[in-house]
Formats: sequence, C-alpha cells, structure tokens
Amino acid sequence: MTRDLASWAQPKSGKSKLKLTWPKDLVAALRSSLRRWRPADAPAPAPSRPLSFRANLSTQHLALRLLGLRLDVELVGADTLTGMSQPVIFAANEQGALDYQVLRAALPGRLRPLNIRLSRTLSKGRNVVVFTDEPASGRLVGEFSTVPADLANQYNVAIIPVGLAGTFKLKDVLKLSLRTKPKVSVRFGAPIYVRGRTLTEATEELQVRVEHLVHEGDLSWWTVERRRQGVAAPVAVEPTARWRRLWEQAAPKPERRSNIWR
Amino acid sequence: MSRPGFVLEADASTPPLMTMSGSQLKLERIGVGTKVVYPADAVASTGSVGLIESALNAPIGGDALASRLQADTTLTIVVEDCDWPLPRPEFDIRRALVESVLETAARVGVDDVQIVIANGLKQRWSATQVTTVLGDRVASSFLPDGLVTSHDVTGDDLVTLGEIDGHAVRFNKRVAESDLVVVVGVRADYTTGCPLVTGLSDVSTINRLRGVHRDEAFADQVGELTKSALSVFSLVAVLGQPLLGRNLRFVGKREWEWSLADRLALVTARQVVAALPRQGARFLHGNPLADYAVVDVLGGDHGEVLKHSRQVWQAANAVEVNGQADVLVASVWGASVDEGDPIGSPLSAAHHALVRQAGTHMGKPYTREGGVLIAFHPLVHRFANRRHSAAADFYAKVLSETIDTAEIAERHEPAAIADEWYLDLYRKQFAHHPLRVFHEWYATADAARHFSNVIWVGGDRRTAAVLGHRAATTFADALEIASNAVGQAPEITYLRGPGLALGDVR
Repeated sequence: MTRDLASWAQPKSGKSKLKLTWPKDLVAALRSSLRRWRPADAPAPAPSRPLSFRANLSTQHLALRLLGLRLDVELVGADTLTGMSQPVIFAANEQGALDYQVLRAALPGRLRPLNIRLSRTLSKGRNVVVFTDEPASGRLVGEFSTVPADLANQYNVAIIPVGLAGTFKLKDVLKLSLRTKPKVSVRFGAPIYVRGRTLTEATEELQVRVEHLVHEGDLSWWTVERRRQGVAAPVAVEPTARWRRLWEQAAPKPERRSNIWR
Repeated sequence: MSRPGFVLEADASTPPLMTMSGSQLKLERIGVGTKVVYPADAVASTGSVGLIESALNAPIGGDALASRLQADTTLTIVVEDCDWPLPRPEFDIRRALVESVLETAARVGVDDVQIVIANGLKQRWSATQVTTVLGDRVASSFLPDGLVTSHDVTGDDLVTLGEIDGHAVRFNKRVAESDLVVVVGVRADYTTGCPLVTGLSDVSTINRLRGVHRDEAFADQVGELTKSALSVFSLVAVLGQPLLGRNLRFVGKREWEWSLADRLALVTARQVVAALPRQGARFLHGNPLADYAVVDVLGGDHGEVLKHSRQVWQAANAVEVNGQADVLVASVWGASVDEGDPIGSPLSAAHHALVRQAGTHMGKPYTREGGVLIAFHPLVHRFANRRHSAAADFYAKVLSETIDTAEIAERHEPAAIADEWYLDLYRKQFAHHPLRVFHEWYATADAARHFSNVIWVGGDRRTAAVLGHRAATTFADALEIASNAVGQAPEITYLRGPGLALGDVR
C-alpha cells in the first residue's frame, strides 16, 4: 500500500541554472564593510591568535619533488609531525655533509628548521635542528649533547628525534655517474617532552630513540617502542666497515618493468 | 578557554544573518525579536599531551593505567566510533590517545595487544580509514598482523556476556576475554548512553537499546552487566567547536566580526556553488576539515568518565536562553550531516535538525510543546550507493508506505535485518548496517512529535511530504505557514551553526 501524498507534493524538476550572484553579493559585502554593525551587548572580540601554528606535513611540496629528481627519498613516520604545536627541535644524527640540506628539503617551508642561533630562532617561533657529534669509530650515531634537552626545557617545546640513513658520503656518491638514484631515508620518531625529568635522562632517551630510528627502520613503530622500553642505555652497535655501509646504501632497487611486453 | 556562546536578540538594525541550506550559504533577514543562538567560539587546538598524561596517571575512580598493566595482560584497546563530529577533524585526537596507551603498554612490556573498533551499526573500518584515523605508526604496527579489527554485530564469534530477563547479551569475543579493556573515545555532544555497549554487542541487544521499544531499565542492566564482566579503563577527550579552514572560516564566525576577507570569501563561495552546483559544492563543502580544540581529557572508571565528560562538555558549550520559543529555526549544512556529501541525504538532514540540533538541550526544549521547527535544507533525493543503500530503500519503499514507527518496526525491520544484500554490504563493503537507518528514523520521528509542524525552507515538496513534513519556498513563507499553529507574533529562536550549542533554556 502506498501513502497518498498531497497532489501538490511534486518533486523539483529541471536542472538548476547558472546564476551570477557575485555582483550583488559584492556590493552588499562592501556596503557591510563600510557600515560596521555590532550588537550593543555582544562580547568583546577574542584575542588575536598566538603565533604558533599547527604543523601539517605534506609530502608533495616542491623541494621534496626536486630532491626526488636526484635521490630516492623515503619519509618514515612523517605523520608524527601532524598536529604538533610549533616550534619544535629536530634532533638528528649527523652522517654526512648534506644532512642539513636533505632534512630541510624533506620538510615543507613552514616546518624547515635552522641550525644557527638556536635560542633566538626558537624565541621567534621557528623550528631548529641539532645534530649529534661526529660518531666514534665503528658507530653510526654520534653522541648528543644536552643542548636539545636544555632548549626544550627552556622553551617548553617538543624534541622530534630524526634518523637519517643513506646520507653517508652522499656528496661523493652524487658525483658518480650512477644508473640508480641513491636511497636516502628520513625517519621521524615520537616527540619527546623534557618536562618532569632531568636533562641527562631526556638526552639519554633522545640518544636511544635516534639510534633505533637509524638502525631499525624496517621494523614497525610498535616493535621499536617495545624494544626501546626495555633498554636503559644506548644500544651498542657492531662496528661496521665503511665500505659495507656504502654497499648497503647503494643496493639497487628491484627492477620494475613498466610494460609487460618489453 | 574559548568565548562562551551568545544569544543575539535581533532588532531593526540587525543586518541579514547567515543561513546554511545543504551547500547553499545565504544572508537572510531575521525578524525583529528573534533570539539567535551562537555556539561557543571555535579556537585552534593546542598540544594535548599534558592532558592525556594527566588522565592516564591520575584517573577518576581507579588506579593509573600503568599500574593496571602486567607483561602478561591481555590488553584490548577499543576505539569508539559513535556520533563523530562533522566536519571531519583534520587531526583525530583518538590517534594521540591510542598512541599514549600503546606507549604505556610498551613501557610495561605487554605482549598481547589488539585494537577493536566499536563501530556498532556504523560502517566497519577499511584499512585506509584505520590509517587515516589512527595514523601510520599504529597502522603499520598492527594492521599487517590483523591486530586491528572492526566489530561485526552479526558475527558468529560473539560470546554471551550474561543474561538479562532471558535476553542473552552477546559481546565482542576479544573484548570479553581481555584482562583489561581501554576504551578510547571523544565527547562532542550531550548524549547519554554507553557507546561501549552499542558499539560492541549484537543486533538484538542494540535493538532493545535503540529500537522503537527502547527500554531504559534494560539499558541500565546491560551497563551493570558490562561493568561487572569487564575490566575497563576509559580515556575520553572532550572536544570544542569546529574551527574551519581559511576558505570557510567565516562560517563559524559571528557576522559582526567578519572582516572584508571573510565577506569576500562568502561572495566567492556563493558564486562557486551557483556556477558549478555539483563540482563547486563538492569542492567547497564536500569534505571540509576542521580543527577541534581539546577541552579536557578524562581517564578512569568508564561510568564516571562518561558522566564527567558530559559535564565538561556542558560547561564549555552551554548557552543560556531565556524562555521557550514558539518557532525554532535550524540551518542544516551538508558538511555537518553526511561525510563526503556536500548536501546530505534527506533522512540525515531531518535527523540532524530534529535530533541533533533541536534535541541538544539541558532537559527543557528550545520550543514549547506544539511549536514549529523551520529548517533550511533542499531535501534533495540523493543517497550514496554503497554506504546508504539501506537508507535509499528505506526512503523509497518504507516511508512511501508508512511513517508510523511501530508499524515500520513490525512490518519492515525484520526483513531488512535479514536481507543478505545489506548484510553483505555491511560486512564486506563498509556500508552501514540496515538497522541503523531504522533507529535514526525512530529518533527523528520521536523528536518530530514535539512539534506541530516541521517546515523545510527551499526543500523538495515531495521529499518533505514523504517525511510527513511541509515545504516552503522562502523563510517568510515558512513563517506564514507556521502562523496557523503559533499565531502572527511568535517567539522565534534561531540556532546559528555550524557548531552545536547546548541550550540552557530558563
């Protein structure tokens, strides 16, 4: 049984026509702007918004695309940065001369950190980056000073651990006439907050996290987290010969054939 | 803390105020004396890590989460998926909550951890949705091993949690067998009810809780049963109002605070939709993202957290309105109704206006009994093929026969629940369960009984008639139709969107 609807209850028919609304709206907008109106009992306007903004990491920005012309760049854990309040301190391992440039190019303009005048840069609301010292012989990651933890404590900002892999001797590698693009991996870890602990503790945690990011890029975050929690001191890493590092870094990608008939 | 809500009493000098109807934005002249309810201000979110840490370490009514975990604990993280606020948040706070819980679990060395989505009758989550909401880290750690599952209300593996008056309450197996269940959710409205039960139990239990014969005593008993059978730690974030992106920021701002840029943005938005009704609407209103400030994060005993989070939301969003009105006016913006649809289906629009907007009050409704609701929406007959398949059929086949809820429940509901096509869409194609549209209609019809008339401005006449409502071409026409019920000089309250205000009607 079907309900009897009123005879005038007919559906709309025909396609909507193109309407030109902007001339009339524009006049009204300009008129309203000139003749300001405000209810007498309206609450005062909200204070202007703070300078800090929320990070939103895009992986499509121009610098990264340009970098992709020369390098096979892999971003891991980039979503860590989404929603973070600015500024932040990036704490990365130093592998080669191009680390700073690679990290900057991997990030969009508003997130790009500086590595000079750290304190003044942070006070202006811009991100900074702090690198480790030169790694000791046989190690991949050098030691962090307490500078990042100190700055994070002073400005109440987060430290983002960053593991850079594949940038070792990159400058020299790029001079070679290679058929494949060198593989570079930029791995972001979970933010570290110094609040409630000493600078040494925070620095130790940072050290461990960056070492894990560098060494365990292939493992999932959950696996890394669980391992990390059971380890108090930085992981001792087996000495690796320089040629082996370069060898692994330059490992060719599996060949991709775009057309099945070729 | 954001500025609280505000009630503007329109006078002769009040310029036209913004109304939203699907994807159409318009400046409409409001009658003198109309009370315009503006929700609390939308503000940008700030870091919520401190709030989450506090909630985990100093919970309400219980021990800290870390002290409740052991290395051999079977831990299940339940992600609530009830009425999620729209427009969609650009950063889902549930991700930060889940990551914090996982970090705590990792610190203790818990081995057996799984994530269960408490979707209930809503669509089950695809891998893409898990990644979008919970983030890359959780997705890459848990999805490959199948450790993230969506609850299936029709599943064969549900276990009986207990019996209430002969009714077996069947529950998600993994959750029922866990040593500890951590429930992660958000509070963005004033609803009561336990999303844990409606999200993780079976069809018949959900139907007794939300169906046409709702049983409050049964709901209390089920709540007690879950409390005794499960060890639950809740973690709930209370959200503020949506702060829209730059293109649509003016929508949430009060008209007298619009800058010239805001006014030009309105001019542009109107022209884009007028020139390209489909593509333009989809581009601007299809899936806008909004930033939601986290007002507070509460952790601890499940019942206590539900109660306290409701109080916090009330404190942040209550707007005092003097006196009940004769006519309530509501704007229905497409982006607030159906995700991914710039206009929204007529059933969702009716539910949004009658249940979500008119029903969000502190016990005393905005209008007197027998008042009139005037809502702005085109009521275009459109439903998503996959997600709203059951809703489209409900509109075309059920409502064309009857709008009586008892008759619908008796004649049409059993067939829909047993329909293999709908169930297949629910289980495999990420569509809503067919019962969901029935429950939405029961709630809509219940809410409509409070009003003598529901009038849709600019609405399709046939669709309005099918819903049992009326349609008017303009706002003035709607008021003229309403005058039959409320007289020539009615008291009018207008709910100005897009956020949700909690009416504290005195």
